[in-house]
Amino acid sequence: MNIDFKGPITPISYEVRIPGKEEQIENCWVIERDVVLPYKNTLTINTGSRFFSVPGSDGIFISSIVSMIERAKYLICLSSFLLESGVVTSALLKARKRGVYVVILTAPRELKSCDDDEEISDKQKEIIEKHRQLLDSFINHILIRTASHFHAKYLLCDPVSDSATGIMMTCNATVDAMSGGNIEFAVSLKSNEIRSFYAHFLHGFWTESEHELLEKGKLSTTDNSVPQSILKDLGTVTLPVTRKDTNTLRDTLSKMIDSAKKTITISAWTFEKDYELVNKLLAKQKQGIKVTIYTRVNFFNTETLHKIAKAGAVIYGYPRFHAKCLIVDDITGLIMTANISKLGLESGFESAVLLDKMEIGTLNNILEKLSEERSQVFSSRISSANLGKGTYQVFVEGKKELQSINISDEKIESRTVVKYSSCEKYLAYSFVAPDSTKRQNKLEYIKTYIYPIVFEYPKLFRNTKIDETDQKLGLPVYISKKNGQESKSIVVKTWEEVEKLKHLSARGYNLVIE
Amino acid sequence: MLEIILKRKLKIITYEAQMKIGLQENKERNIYLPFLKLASEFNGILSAKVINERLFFCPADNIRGKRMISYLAEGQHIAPEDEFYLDVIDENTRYVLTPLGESEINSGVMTIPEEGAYLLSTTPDPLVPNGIIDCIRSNITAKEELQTRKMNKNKKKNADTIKLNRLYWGKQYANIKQCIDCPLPIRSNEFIWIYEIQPELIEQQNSFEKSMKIQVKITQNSGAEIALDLQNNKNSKNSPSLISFRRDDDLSYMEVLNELLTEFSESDIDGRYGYPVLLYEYNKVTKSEMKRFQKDITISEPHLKKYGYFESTILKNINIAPKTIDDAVLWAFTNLVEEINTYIDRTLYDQLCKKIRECFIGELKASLILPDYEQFIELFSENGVRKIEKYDNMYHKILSEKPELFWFVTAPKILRFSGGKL
Repeated sequence: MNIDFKGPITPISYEVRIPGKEEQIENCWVIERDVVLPYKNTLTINTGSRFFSVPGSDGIFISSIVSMIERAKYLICLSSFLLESGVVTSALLKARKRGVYVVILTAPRELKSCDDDEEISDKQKEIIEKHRQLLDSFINHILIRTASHFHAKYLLCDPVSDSATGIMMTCNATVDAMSGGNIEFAVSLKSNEIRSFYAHFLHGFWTESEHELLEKGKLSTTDNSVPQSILKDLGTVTLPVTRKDTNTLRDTLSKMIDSAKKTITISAWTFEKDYELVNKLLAKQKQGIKVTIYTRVNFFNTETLHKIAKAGAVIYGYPRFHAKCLIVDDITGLIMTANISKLGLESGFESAVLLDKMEIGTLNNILEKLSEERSQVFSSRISSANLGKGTYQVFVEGKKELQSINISDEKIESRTVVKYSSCEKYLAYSFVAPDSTKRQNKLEYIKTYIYPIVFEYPKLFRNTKIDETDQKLGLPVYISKKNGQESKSIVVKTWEEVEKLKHLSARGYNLVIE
Repeated sequence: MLEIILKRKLKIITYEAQMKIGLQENKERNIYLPFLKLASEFNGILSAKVINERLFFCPADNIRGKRMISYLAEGQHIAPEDEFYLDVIDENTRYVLTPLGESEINSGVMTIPEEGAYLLSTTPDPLVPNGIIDCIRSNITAKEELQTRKMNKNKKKNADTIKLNRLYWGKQYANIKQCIDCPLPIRSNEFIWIYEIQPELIEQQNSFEKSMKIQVKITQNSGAEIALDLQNNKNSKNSPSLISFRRDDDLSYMEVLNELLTEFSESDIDGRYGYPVLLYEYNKVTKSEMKRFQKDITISEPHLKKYGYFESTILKNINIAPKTIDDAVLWAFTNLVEEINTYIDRTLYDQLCKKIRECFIGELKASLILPDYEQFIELFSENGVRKIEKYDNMYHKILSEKPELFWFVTAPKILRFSGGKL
């Protein structure tokens, strides 16, 4: 933010909400503006080496997935924690009719979700029934294997051919998630990445699945006796992943965070309390490294992250932020399918794509756009004076869910202020107080609690008169009485005057605007 | 264990007869055993005098001793040493233990005689050697019945009574007194000793369980066992419904099997292996029969030279084999398909084919063709080229019954790092 301390001081009129009773609120999610989901427009950026997408409700993202499936000639591999009937599943069935083999890894639907309440809606029964019908339509056409930890989300078409294509998504292959219902990222895969993803898929299929669908309505236990010739031919996973006995994704995240010197930006649907990576983020923030977190507003994430926020991290909250990524010092970064949890990084089945510097720039742009649109920002301490009338979500230690507080009985006053960006320099000498400790306290208070929002510019009281007796400064001095105390003010119009007259504030004169 | 069970209905005729029989007395209730045991202390000789002096503690000529001697002699536990003394008993008449008496001392179980009217259940079935199946007390006394009938006999000229020695089974009882096996009393561990059947009997109507059958069970290792099958025997929930009473070790399983299989034509039986193997066409056997190489076969009129005709029966686990080489090829292919219940690669496929082939016998095994791995994979390919023309349609038909096989065969081929190629 550029601060220009030249020329005239231009005050603006600002409406301030004054609560009935002013109080300090801790660990509060402050609503900045409403994010309207689903997002309407799919955001697609081509970096030259790959495509980045943030799916929207315009259907462009789903169409691109369908188009990938339609181009497949031999084999389609899909991994998704959730499946839902829609144009994508229809496209898969059509592909099979063309003679393309289709194989899917997914989590069994009747099981509880992987990460606490991931995408479980009230219409659970209806969803399960629809899911059952979907699976029935796959019988004898599409091979499905399930395991409760299958959480990775990617699509590979003809993975070992010259025309191989692949995409990794943070969203599941469900209609809502692929149409802007959540905030999600998707990246197309480069050919060497596709090979690593295919190896990951094969390992999952042959060695980690628990059940498979071969007969109608029956998930049979997977026979673990895999032919030897296959076990020797599963390929090598070169990218960071989570799978059985492999935690390269966790190790990569850990190393990246350790290496941070300036900034860490991280996002996920779930941050698990006391998980080692979360503790690392806290330690880094305490070391002065700027940590920025994007996540969904819920109790568990707030419980996990409030200490990091207190240490100074900026946390942006959204109703359904499901994308998962990490950027360190704008140099290294990745997009992944895993949450920051033991399940995702110790025992799950997850994938990730490493980003180069240019791709990180692209991702940063996307995140910056999101931060402008942020719906809530987490504040570890705020005055109710700065909260508009309404209901706020507050984390309280010892409770099991976020507590709602109501801010009401407010009155709105119009005040003349300068934008906070221009306040910092001015604060130091714009307040006159005979008691220097009191003055310091007030300054601290304003800096900490009011300064981030607005700063009220001191101005002349209504009942002021020019003090004819005080002529020694050669400037008009205004005098006013409040609560029996007399105060003297000098009107300033430009920043240059402020600079020139700042020494007078120490002698008991207020610098004010008209 | 291989076994054959043959059954037939048992024709039962029940007579009421005036009889004298011996029933076995429980050890606990037996008061006569000490008297018999006394004989063994006197070199097997018993007299009224000995009894009086040793057990009744009374004078040698007391009537009690004589009565006891008379009772024991009547029950054939003892017999006079000299047959002349049959009717004249004095205190010194010497009696010796009969074989029955001796066995009773050893077993501790004595047979106590009783007299009265009994219902004799008899059968003409030669499998019941003595003809008598059961003997139970009659409610009305045969004596009274006979009296009334005799009185009426002169008026009506119908002969209700039957002479014992006219009955084919009765002849043996006309003069002899012997212990017979009555199969049914064995249920309650009883043996009945028949002393005497009066020569005139009265035939009864509906007096016995009609549903009774006789069963011959021939097992591979232990000959034939003959038993009564009481079927739905209502009054004995705890007692067995199958009462076995006789064995016949001369009847071997294999002989019986061969005798029963004479219903089949010779060309349908391969007898070169020491046991009969029935030859079947592919479409006459089920998948499970093909897998087992065995079939349960119904014999409509089982007949054994030794025992006669029985009701139609099912011979379990009879060895079977394909009739022709074409039958064998489809049979083997079916077994192969049935055996593939998980993902299979070339090595496993080859091992399986070898195992399937091993199950066949004789020249079938030698000339059996199964598709090789590539040909087998080809059967699942949409654009597959037919390489095994002759059986191809049948192969596809067999495969269509097990759709999951598609993935068991296809997935190992395509889902491998070097395999997902166009």
